[in-house]
Amino acid sequence: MPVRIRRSFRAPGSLAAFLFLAPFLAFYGAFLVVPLLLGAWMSLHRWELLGDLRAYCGSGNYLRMLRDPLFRSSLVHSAQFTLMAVPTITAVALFLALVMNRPHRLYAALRSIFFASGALSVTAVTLIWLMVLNPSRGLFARFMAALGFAPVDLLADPRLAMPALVVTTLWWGIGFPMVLFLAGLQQIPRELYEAAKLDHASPWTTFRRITLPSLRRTILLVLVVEVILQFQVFGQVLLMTRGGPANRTRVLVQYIYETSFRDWQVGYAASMSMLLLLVMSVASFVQLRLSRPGD
Amino acid sequence: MARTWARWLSHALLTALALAWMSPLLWVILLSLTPNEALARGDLAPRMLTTAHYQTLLAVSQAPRWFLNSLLVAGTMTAATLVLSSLAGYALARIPFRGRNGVFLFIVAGLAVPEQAIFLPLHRMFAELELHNTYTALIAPRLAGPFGVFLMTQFFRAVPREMEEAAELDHAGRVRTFLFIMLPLARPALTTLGIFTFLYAWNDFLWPMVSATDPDMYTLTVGLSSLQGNFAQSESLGFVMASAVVASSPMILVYLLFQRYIVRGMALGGVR
Amino acid sequence: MASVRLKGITHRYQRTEVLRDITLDIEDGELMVIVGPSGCGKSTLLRIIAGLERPSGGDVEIDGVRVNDVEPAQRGVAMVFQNFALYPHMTAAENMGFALRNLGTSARETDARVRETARLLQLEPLLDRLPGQMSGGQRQRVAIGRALVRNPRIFLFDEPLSSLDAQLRIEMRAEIARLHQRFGSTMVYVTHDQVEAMTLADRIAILNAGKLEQVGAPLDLYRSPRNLFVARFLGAPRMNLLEGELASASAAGAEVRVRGGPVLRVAAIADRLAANARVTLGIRPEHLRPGPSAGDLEGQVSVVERLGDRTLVHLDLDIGAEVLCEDRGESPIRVGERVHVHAPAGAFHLFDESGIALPRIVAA
Repeated sequence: MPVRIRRSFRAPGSLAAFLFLAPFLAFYGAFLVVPLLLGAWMSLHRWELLGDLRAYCGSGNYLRMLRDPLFRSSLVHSAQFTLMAVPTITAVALFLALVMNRPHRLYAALRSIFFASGALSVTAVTLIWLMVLNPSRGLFARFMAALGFAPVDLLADPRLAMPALVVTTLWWGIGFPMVLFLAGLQQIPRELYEAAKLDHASPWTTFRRITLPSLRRTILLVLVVEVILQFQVFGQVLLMTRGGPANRTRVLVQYIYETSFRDWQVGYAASMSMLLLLVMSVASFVQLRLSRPGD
Repeated sequence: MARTWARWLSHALLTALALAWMSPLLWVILLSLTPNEALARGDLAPRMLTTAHYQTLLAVSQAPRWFLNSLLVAGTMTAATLVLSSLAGYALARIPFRGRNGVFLFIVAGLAVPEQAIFLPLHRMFAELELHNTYTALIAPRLAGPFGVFLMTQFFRAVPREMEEAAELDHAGRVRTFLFIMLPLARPALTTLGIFTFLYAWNDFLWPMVSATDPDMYTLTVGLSSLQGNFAQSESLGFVMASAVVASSPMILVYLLFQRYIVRGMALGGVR
Repeated sequence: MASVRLKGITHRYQRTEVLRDITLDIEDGELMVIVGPSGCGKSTLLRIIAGLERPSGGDVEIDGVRVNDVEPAQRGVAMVFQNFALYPHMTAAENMGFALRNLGTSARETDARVRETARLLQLEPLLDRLPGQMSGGQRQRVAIGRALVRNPRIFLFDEPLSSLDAQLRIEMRAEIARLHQRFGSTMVYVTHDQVEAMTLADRIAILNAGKLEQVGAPLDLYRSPRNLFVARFLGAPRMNLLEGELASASAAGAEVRVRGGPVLRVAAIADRLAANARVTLGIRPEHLRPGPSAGDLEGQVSVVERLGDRTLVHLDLDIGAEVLCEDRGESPIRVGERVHVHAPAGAFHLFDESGIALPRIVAA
């Protein structure tokens, strides 16, 4: 047997590691890290594409946010949407997961139905719901008419437009939290339920004393994940209400989008992006903390 | 027995709820098959169905082109993501080198960066490079997402060390071990990641909308939104609905066929 | 065929020392079993021989050549892993042929050699199956086949039977013994199971907390354990221990005063100890015979375990210690009875305060 001196396999694999990592890191650096730094840099400039203005302004853009009523209202609308959507979605997903967590063919099929709308793109979803909510011939209007009510244009009603967006989002995005809850339910050992049964626990007691406490972590996780998702709401609003009626649904990401692509004030828009980034990374950090198992 | 009745009742209620949940989708499919005259009258249940809207879609609109764009973009993005993520994930999980934890954290930190927060500078970059309205612009920035690397790292970490040691004793070098042992083992994870990437790419909206302004470069998702303006008129209503169906049905199919993998990926994404 | 020599092997993970100055010669064609409780460093030692781990200090020699810097694959060793580590996406034949193919052996020759090995191990019907489609025992044999097909100089086994059920373990144990007799190859076998060690080994090396406690033929270790650890580790049920102090010592034997009890005669040479030194007396259950009267020690029966061929009797001695003794299969002893036990002087083991065995006087 020839005796050869060991090669790099077991030696510190810096070169090999570099070769394996380099392709991804190239993309990561170019299209995530660089834009991040560029965004931070842009946010420190008055930078308007029309007229080609570009001047350093320090914290000027950030101070401007404080004074900008449109920014403030868009922030409020994003928060409103989040506050409405997150509890609704979480509650409905938990409910569906609880009632459908049974090994039965019917339930497998039903789960697929609630799950499937998640496959649609935001444009398809909004198209469908614009049709459904259409006051003259939408499914909803016909339904209301059948019950003897006058047709309402939900999306044109300043009070009802936001809830309508929430319902659309609920229909679109229920699958993900539902799956998380189902996964959480699967992890509760069956022996716990059998023991509870032997201990004469009623279904309600079992739910309150076993299911809910076991799901506490999952519930928190779903809440945080949904906050991250919903606070960045954009497509539904842009395509269904364009921020209306009366600017009642203009949300933060939409305002960023409009500030840069309609008003061409990219510096100001970049500073708002930075604020969004800050808020989101705090939330992501919480999520990471929550989802690390076993501490 | 009362319990049997209760069970049937809950079955029935849930089934009704599911049907109601599905009704918007079914209705849109129905609209896409309804002749224009019936649409103009506002019939709820047309007496005749037609495929005319689908024919128009194929014949006169740009939808087929958009469909191909979406296919090309999503396909390339998926293939590239699988390659990049499995390479990087393997290195992070299995090749000891100085600073490995640091690199891993540096990459994982990217999970906290929402696309909404960087699309603007990214758009400037591609504008400076004059790369908008190219496939490169549609694909390349989307390969920077760290989720795939994260997923593959977690997967490779879970592979028993003995598997690699057996390969080492079997005279397989680093590359052979990666190609012939680790990659085949990772097939379930790769499938999950692949489906996720494909769905994500196909449904991607904000970036293709701001990057592709030339209708020839639209993806189906963006193209569809450009049609929405004219959908108030009854003549194009069926047509718009048909395009929505065409855009959505492949994804729904993928979703239902690979539900198992998607569910696993979601669970992994949440419980990471 | 090859010999292995370990010279002063030490190994550290960060601060903790897992192996301390291990020196061990494994002869050509020998089946050496390295045995010890979990965490004693035995698997690490095996991995150092394989080259999967690099020792912090000391040398590994194979056939007299220092191989510290030789790649695992080049050492001519084959390893059977604890969980077999079969590649789950490859059939048995592909698993077995993988190494040969990596070495550039032609597909035809690989196939021929795989088939030949499969015939030897009666694996032929399994060749096209994936590991997932095999039982535990079948996987085990394929793992052995994968090692065998490469014709290695040394076989390494890392607890290869621990994931099998009890019955299968006995069968595979015999199979490995047959394999060793047939090929006479050098084998190093790591296990935590002292029964496996006793039945398989030409020689046993007992490892404890990173230290080599004793090396020798199974029965030698059983009869003359060098210290308390080895005495307690080998043999099931375990050796009984009684605390006491030395009453007298001479070339003819020693007398030990058991704590709180009688003075017993022990065939051991304890000259080097001071009078009244604290000692530990060891006696294996099979040498401690219970009877109704006239014994050295007396106590009450707390538990009786009837195994059919023999009966294990747990005794609460009047002097406050608990011992286990063995009686014949049809023992009349019942729980709660009072029983005397007796052992011949030659059956006792004597250990000094630090647990080192004192030399025994072996009856001619």
